[in-house]
Amino acid sequence: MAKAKNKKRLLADVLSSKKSVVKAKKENPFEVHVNKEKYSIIGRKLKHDRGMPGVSRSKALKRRKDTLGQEYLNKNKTNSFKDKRIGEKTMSKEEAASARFVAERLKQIKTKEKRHSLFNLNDDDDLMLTHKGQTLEELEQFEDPVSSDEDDDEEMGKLDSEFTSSAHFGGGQEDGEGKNRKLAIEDLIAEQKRRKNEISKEKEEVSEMTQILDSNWRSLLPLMGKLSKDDEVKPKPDSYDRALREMIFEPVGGVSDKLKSDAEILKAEKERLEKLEKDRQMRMLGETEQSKKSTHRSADDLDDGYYQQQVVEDNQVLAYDLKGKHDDTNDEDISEFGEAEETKKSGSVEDNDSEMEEEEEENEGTNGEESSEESSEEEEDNLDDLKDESESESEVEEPKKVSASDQPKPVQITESERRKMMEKASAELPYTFELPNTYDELADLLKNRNSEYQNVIIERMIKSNHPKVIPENKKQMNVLFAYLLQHVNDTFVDATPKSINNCFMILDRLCPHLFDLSHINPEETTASFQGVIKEKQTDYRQNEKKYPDLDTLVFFKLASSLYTTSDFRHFVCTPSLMAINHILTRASVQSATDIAKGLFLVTLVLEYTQLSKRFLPSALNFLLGILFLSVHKKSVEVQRIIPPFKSRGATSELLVLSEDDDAESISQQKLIAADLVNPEINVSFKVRALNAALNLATDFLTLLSDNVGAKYFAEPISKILAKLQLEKYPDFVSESAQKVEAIIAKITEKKFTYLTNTNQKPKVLRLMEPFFDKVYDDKRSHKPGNKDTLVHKGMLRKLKREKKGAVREVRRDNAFLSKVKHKRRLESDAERKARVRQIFSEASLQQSELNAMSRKKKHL
Amino acid sequence: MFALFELIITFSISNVQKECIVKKSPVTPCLLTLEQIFMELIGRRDMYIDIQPLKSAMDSNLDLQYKEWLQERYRDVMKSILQCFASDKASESCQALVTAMHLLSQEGKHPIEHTTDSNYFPINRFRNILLRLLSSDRLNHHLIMRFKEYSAYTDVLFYAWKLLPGITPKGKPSSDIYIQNYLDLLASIPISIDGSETSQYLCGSANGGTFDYAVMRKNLNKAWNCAVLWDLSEHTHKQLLIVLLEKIMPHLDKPVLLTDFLMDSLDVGGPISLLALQGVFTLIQQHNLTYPNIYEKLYSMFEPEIFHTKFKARLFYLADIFLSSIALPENLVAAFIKRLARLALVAPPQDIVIILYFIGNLIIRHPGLKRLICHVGGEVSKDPYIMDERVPIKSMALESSLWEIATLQCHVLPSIAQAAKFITNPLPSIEWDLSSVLEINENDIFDQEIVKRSKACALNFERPPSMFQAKSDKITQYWHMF
Repeated sequence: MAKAKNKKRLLADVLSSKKSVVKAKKENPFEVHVNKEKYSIIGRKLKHDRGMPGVSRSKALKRRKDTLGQEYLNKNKTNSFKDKRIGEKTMSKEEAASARFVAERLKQIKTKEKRHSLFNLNDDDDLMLTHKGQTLEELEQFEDPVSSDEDDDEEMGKLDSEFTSSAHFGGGQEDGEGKNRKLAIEDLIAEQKRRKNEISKEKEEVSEMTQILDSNWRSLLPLMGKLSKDDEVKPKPDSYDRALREMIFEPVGGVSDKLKSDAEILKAEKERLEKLEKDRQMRMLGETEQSKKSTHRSADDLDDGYYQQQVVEDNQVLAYDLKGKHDDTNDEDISEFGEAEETKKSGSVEDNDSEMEEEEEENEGTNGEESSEESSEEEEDNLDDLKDESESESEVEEPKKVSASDQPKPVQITESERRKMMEKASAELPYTFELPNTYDELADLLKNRNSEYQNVIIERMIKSNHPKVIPENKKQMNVLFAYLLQHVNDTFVDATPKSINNCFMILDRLCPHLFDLSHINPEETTASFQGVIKEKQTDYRQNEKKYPDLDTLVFFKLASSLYTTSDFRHFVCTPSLMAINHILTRASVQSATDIAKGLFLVTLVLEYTQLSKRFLPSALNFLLGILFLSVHKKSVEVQRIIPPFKSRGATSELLVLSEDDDAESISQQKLIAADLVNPEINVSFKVRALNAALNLATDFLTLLSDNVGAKYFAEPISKILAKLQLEKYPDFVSESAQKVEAIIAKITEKKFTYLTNTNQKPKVLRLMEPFFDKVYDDKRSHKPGNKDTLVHKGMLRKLKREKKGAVREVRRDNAFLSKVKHKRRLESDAERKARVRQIFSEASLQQSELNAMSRKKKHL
Repeated sequence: MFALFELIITFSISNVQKECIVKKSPVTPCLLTLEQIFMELIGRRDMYIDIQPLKSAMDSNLDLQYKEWLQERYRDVMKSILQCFASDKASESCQALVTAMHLLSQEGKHPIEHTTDSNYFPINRFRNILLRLLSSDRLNHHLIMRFKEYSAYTDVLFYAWKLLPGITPKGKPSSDIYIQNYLDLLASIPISIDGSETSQYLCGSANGGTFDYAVMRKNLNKAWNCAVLWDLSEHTHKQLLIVLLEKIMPHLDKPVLLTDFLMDSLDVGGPISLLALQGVFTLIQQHNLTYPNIYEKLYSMFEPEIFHTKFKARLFYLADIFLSSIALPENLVAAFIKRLARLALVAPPQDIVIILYFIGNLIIRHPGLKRLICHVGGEVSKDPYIMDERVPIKSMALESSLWEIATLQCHVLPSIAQAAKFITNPLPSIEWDLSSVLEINENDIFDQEIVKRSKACALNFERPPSMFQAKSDKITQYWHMF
């Protein structure tokens, strides 16, 4: 059944394709049937407004006859005739003839065994390309000098004016004698012939001469060849020519670039830095350049965007806009909580990204240049800086030397000593260093060298293998970066009070190189740095109660030196801050090292947040705890303090000065590196820790003074401050305390402004424009649902329609078939009837004859 | 002859074991050997003494003497096995428990004394085992965990509950450790057995006595009534409350009697009062208790210390339930909101997120509280909210505004700064799911942040001449590094 159907379809296809070829007939107005429309609706397309039922019915009938009817005829027959004659029924005689011819030729071509010979023109005698009836071969000889003189012939064909004037109209009137005229004409003809001969002769000569000339020229051609070739081949434009041409085409009066003056260079540099700073601030707010750009808004625009714009301009603390203030790509988890609307499109995000990348590339380039410029004079630069720094240090240290006799003395290196050491290092060490292949190589190289030596080694290593010189080294630099981080780690792993200064010195010297390396390939180095932070945090997780060692803490410091800490979200700095927060929240304070490490971390938090002015509760809490540790507790009243500090017990009075402590004589103000490794608490440390905590508190409160909630932070500090017995301490401590009090007083003066909902839409004024109802009739249904189900529904609908159509077709096929059967039966019946009648008639005739015979017999 | 040989071995090994205990050398081999020997002896009924009325007449019987001697040895050995419970090594003490239980089982199957009961259970031996488990010198957590496996046997469970009230000291128990062990045991042995068809028996046959819940419940109540009266330290008090809440509470005859105990616990403060609060909540919910000051108690529990306890999630969960009613007065809820907001200023990041969600939910529940974030305007010199006020209704929270949340928008961590923005956006109509964030800790947040792979790997653009000389450096301001 299916097969038959298939076949039928095939036939139908053939037919329909034929139909399309047939020209559209002019439609007969009597065949058209129009469906009347009661109401005409604008914009509605009607499919069935007019049709030709008779035509389409007959079409359908014909199709059935050609397909189904044919099948029916062939039913139960094993074979059938196939008419292979070409164009027997369908074409006219001429068409059929040409079609047959084509078929014949095609057959010939096909019979050729070798297919490639089809295109071999020379091989075949029958096929020949012609041009204007001549074969191409003939044409190729070009020997047709005469043919070019058609014009002359034409000229010759025409009679010249002399002849016409004499021979044509009124020519005969002159003589009046026929003989004369006849002669004249004969003369004329003779004259004509003669001229013709002359001309042809001339032409022959000319052609001969040209041929001779041609042959002569041909013989000369090989000689000429070289010369002409030399002339023709253009010399390749060398750089000089190119430059010359460029100079020709250049605008003559153009202004050449001036040599930049120092001021200009400085200005350009300043602009670059300003741009970078602007970018940084944008990142700090979590903005990107794209989001900052405000689109044009018409005066009528009363959208909610109106308010947002204003908010951006206000730039108040409380007024945050909804739109794009934060990088949406990173905040998926929060956006569902914090943000009610998602405004950003993915496209813009991509744009941003690409922009960022470009910027980075720029940075890279410029920095690379810089570093190369700088590197030539770097040593001198360093020295200058060192000079400044060591001078300032010596100023600070001057008074300290007297008192801090019990302290482990920080190593004091004077400027001249350092310079000497530096010179010595640069003299002793070789000028080039290979990049280390393994970490051990680097470690061996740097082992037992002091900081200056390490500085020079790394500097030279980078300089002699800089990727600007050897581009393949770019990846190697990343490896070197990782090795250096490992080196920093190993340096600090076993720091003792004696070696700690040296450790920090090494770190201090290595930092610029790490900076350079991180600028060579930012992404990879950032990833490896983040890896380090992650590893350190994982280590810390093993024992949350214990402060991690210095080899963890220095990396947080390094992060703030290498990366912009002010970003709203940063690949390295955010995890670092989280780790710091975790440590400050959970690790318990037991000894001097814990306090020192905590203060170190709090200082780092200050460093991280100094630009972004954000706050970390645990840092403030830690400062509060340090103040609390310095307060002498009375046994009766219980003061409360937030963990990790304990409000009771031995560890709650770690920093309280005991009765016999002579604190007032202490003059050293700053904490020192040795505090980070020395677990004993002495008087000096107590004083310095308190002093540092007070100063840090001042700085933090100053940073936060613009914040709404600054009061909440100031309040507990002022409470504890009141309980401190400052008279026991040296003067500088009470000065620090006064500074804190001053800033607290400043904060307390501020007033709270009630929160108002800034995102509330303004009430829209009544508009004079008419209000249109948005009701319109849409045939398409707008049912909600997800895309897949809608598509599925659509498919089902189509399927149903198709099924209906198919059923209708089958029904009509059946009707057709039954009609055909009926017709055949009628035909056969009629035939039979005719036959019967014939037989009857024959029989009656016979009978009549018989009767006639019998009658005759009777008569006889 | 063979018996004699055995005797000698037994005797010598039990001596060896004693020596081992004294010398603290490994006792596991001894234990295994003794177990083998006595399993065999008990199995062969070598020690079986039939009780006979004319005991004195049979005194001279050597066989009887032998048996009596064996029994004496057996008791001796049992004693030293029990001593091994105190071994320092967990494996040894566990082995001792296993050995004791094996012997107990064997003895149950083959009684060594005349008994008429078909389901004989050597109750005295079992009692000794339990007593040893409840040591007052050392924590026997591992042993109790091991014992828990045996409590799958119906008879063991039944007798354990039966013996428990008798063991429970009426007055003051000997030490905290004892209480801890006791509570541990109470927490680990199941209260009832599901599917009694599959019940197994350590001693005796399967057709033995059935487990009776009513009897067990009576025993449980008896034991509990003694335990509640003990003097408790902070730790044990906490443990007791946990056991009570998670285990005992549904099986008590009169839970309302707990009210006094819970009230006292509520006043202790910290996690204990939190647990007590949960108990009170159960009483209120299921036993119709009225307790007027419950919200004040809950309010007083929100202290900064709570973030450093393990019960933080429980507190927030409870508070969410307590404050779920929309019929609560607004000033009460406002007080809770303000207090939570204050806490958020000192809380660790993961808790700030919880608090922010919670506050958001409360404002959604009580639309009138939108005035906290959407005031008509104006200024005040001081936050009207009084943090130190113990009664939430009097804390003037309604006159305040959520400046704390506005402050949190400047939090260092981007996720929190982002989350705190909800006060400036229109509030959603559906509450945030609190349960998803309750159990998050610092490490989870850290991992989330690490995975986030933000594209910004911005570098500093000013090259530091050295680490501590950079412009941005703050360390040198406070530190003297070299």
